[in-house]
Amino acid sequence: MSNPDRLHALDAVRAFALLLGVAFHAGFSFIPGMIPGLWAIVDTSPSTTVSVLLFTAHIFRMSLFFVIAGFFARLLFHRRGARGFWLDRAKRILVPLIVGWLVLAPSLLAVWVWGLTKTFGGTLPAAPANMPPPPPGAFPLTHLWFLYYLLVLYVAVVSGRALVAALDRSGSVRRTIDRVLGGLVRTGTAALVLPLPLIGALAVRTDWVMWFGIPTPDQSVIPQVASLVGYGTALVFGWLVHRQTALLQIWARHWPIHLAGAIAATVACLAIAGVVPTFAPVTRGGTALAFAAAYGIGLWCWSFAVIGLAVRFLSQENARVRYVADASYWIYLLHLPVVVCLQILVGHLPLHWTVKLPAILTGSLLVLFGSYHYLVRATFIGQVLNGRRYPRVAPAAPSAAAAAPSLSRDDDPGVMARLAGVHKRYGKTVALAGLDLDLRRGELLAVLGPNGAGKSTAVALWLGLLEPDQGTARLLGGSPLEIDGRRHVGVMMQDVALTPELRVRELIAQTANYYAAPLSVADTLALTRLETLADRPYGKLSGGQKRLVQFALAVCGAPRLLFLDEPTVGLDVEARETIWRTIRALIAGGCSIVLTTHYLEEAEALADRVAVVAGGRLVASGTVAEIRSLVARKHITCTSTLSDDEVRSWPDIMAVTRDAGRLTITVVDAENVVRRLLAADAGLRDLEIRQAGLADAFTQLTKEAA
Amino acid sequence: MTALSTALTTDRMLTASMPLGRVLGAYASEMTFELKRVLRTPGFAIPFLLLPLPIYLFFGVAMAGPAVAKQPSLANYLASSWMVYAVMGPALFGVGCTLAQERDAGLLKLKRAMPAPAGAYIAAKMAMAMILGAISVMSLMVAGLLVGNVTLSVPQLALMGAIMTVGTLPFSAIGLFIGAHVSASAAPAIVNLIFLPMLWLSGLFFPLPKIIEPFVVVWPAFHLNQVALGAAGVTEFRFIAPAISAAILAGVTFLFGGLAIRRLARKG
Repeated sequence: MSNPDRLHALDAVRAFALLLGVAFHAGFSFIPGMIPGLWAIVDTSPSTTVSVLLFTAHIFRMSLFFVIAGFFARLLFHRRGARGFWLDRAKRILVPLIVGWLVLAPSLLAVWVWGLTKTFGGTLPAAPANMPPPPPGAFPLTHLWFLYYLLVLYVAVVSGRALVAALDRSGSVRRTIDRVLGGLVRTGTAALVLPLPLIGALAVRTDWVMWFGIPTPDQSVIPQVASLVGYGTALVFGWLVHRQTALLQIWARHWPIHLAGAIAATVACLAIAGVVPTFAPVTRGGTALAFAAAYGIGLWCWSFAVIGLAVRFLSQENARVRYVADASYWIYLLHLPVVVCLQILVGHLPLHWTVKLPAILTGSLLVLFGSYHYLVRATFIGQVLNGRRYPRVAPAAPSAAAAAPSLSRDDDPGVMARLAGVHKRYGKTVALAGLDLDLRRGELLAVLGPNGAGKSTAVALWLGLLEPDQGTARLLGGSPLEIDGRRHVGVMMQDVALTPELRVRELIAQTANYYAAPLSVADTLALTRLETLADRPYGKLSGGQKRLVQFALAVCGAPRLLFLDEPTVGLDVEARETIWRTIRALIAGGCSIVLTTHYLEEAEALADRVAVVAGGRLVASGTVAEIRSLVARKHITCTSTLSDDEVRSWPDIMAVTRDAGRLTITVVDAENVVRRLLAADAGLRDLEIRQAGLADAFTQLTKEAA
Repeated sequence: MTALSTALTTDRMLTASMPLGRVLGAYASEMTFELKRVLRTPGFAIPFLLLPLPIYLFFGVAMAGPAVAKQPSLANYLASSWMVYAVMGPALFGVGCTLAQERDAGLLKLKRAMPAPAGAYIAAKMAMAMILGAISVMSLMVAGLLVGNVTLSVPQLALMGAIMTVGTLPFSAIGLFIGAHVSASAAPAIVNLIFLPMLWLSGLFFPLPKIIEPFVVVWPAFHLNQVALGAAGVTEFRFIAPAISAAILAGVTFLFGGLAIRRLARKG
């Protein structure tokens, strides 16, 4: 796998599908019109809301699980080889199936007897006379049927794979399959084509109940065709998707359309099957076919939407999601007796379902997560189910550590913000072309450059407003996209209009609330000399006053790191003094500052280090003196009778200009030129040698880069 | 100066996360200031807070008088319909137009760069629409009871009002979606393009021509009305199961809200 992040998202999807199963069974006793005896208990407060939700969840939860199972199966197969694959599957699927059944089947039987006794007022009803004969191979697989089907499908897929590998030595068949599959996914037609096998399988079968969709094959060890086709398509598809994981990103982009399709298909299904289940098997015909089509499309749309959402939003490693993902397998295996017990306990209480259902869910999850945490996570059971055993630690500890921004995560603790090899383009315009720039602890870094040099883009990358096309941006040792890092950052941007109706005091209070330990509003006002304007609405202030308020917002959080994008544009001398004074105080207090500016004297007055950016690259960086010496030019001015052209003909002269009779000569080696000047013109007066300012250095550097 | 130096020189550990209390505080302050902002803009607040009442009195009570006399239960339906109107305005215009405006002003980008908690801005906008909607719904409830011949009990009416208040959410989500995509100058036009057809084609105020009737289901306004009537236990004028309507509204909220949030997170 080129990008291990994607697996976090799919782990989360698998956990979601399994936990959805828990919720599905928890709501089962609330389905209206439930025939007594079909489930362990019929609740006294039925709800169509619940039945609609259950119906929706049931459309896709198992198929989604099988897609993910197929994906991870191929991953495992290619990591461990055939032998390793089967050993792993034996341990993590076959053993739980056998041991789980031996433990769960009797407890389910006990719970069912208890529930049915309660339902029928103390006595178990006699079996109905017209009970259908048991199917061939009858065996109560219980909800563990999915483990059995996983094993059957693994055998089928691995054999199929061996067959394809033997016949298709050139790989052309596999490439064609990849192309077709990729095409289906890219065009969005996958959700319309993938249901076809299932629709076909359901069309020839007459004993399925529309409301429950793909028949649950929990009654017989002989695989049921419709179930095998439905879940087999899902597993094979997942397996094939692992051949081209880029497809995941397509769903990440297209989740809204898939979600819309899923909702539409679900509504269509409900319109046909009704919001309340009818338990009569379908009759073959147009209605059943239409339902099967809507159901199949809904199933795939839901699956793509959920996977897309997960890839989009849960791709980062997250300790809590990881914990839930690890727990979900155990929870699903164990949930049924726990959930049904609670259903029986509350079933006859005169309470509304909105009270009972959440109580059942909360109670079951407490029991299930509790048992996972104390009996599974750090024991051999966890080793068997999840392939690893975690050391015994409080679950909060790893997540807290993961969430906290800490300098220790970066190699160099002195670096507060870093851009490394960053490329960024807007369409065809290249804004940054491999920029490397570090902000060190406690320094003021002035970023200089002509318009369009990439200064603002660099700041936006540091602030997480943009993401680099290539290279990395780091802020306080973490990703700039994480808010925890940004909580130590103050920012003043160009061209921002704050809410005009709010008063200065209110704007500061609002912004200070974003920070963990901000300055008080009064201190901020005092610091930025805004006391007299505190109760004026922002919209009534002058341009310079508005900039000063924006500066106040940047510092009110007492930031460790401050980004100032051309802070003193359009300010009068007094306001600029206020800002400069505050910046010096912040630096003295240990704050690190990035300042972009066009005012070179501002950089000369404040900066510890200057970075000159041009054409999206760093062309020079160093102290003000270093930058100046880098282009070690000096200006010699004098009043002389020598002609411009004569001086220009001397070696090493960079430029000669004359202004009101005074000659200005730009050189690197001033001493030699002065000697020659004095020798050539005895009447030379007013000689003066000046080090070039930062302005000159800057102009030359950026000219060279261009 | 001293405050600054203490705040800065104490070597505050970077490992400390923001306490949950302060995060919630940031949400609350964002909402408070959003509400303040709106109430200080009378040109915005008055049409949405005060206008629905006279409009209801004129159209829903005075003009509908003869029809209600013939069919008394119509009064309940009309009250519910006008409540839907009352919540649509602040949600669509209040959220949509101000979002577009503040996005153009670069404010959203600044808030995103500053550590404003993700979602605080959006939650504040939605809460603002909810509060404005609730205030004008309440004025309609009182008017309906006093002069509107509404036959519902006070608890029924209160439940209806509560549904309406929560019912601002799908419209706020549509507002967010529009505001996240169009410029400040285009936003009012686009919102009107949604608002007006929805108002008239969702069958809230008068019977629709038979040919348009089946298409009421495309408008969230129709569904909100159905949910509110269902919750209040009104059995007439029910065309669709309230649970399905509620699910559709939830879907609309989720879809448009999700698309808007995605867009805002990427482009600001």
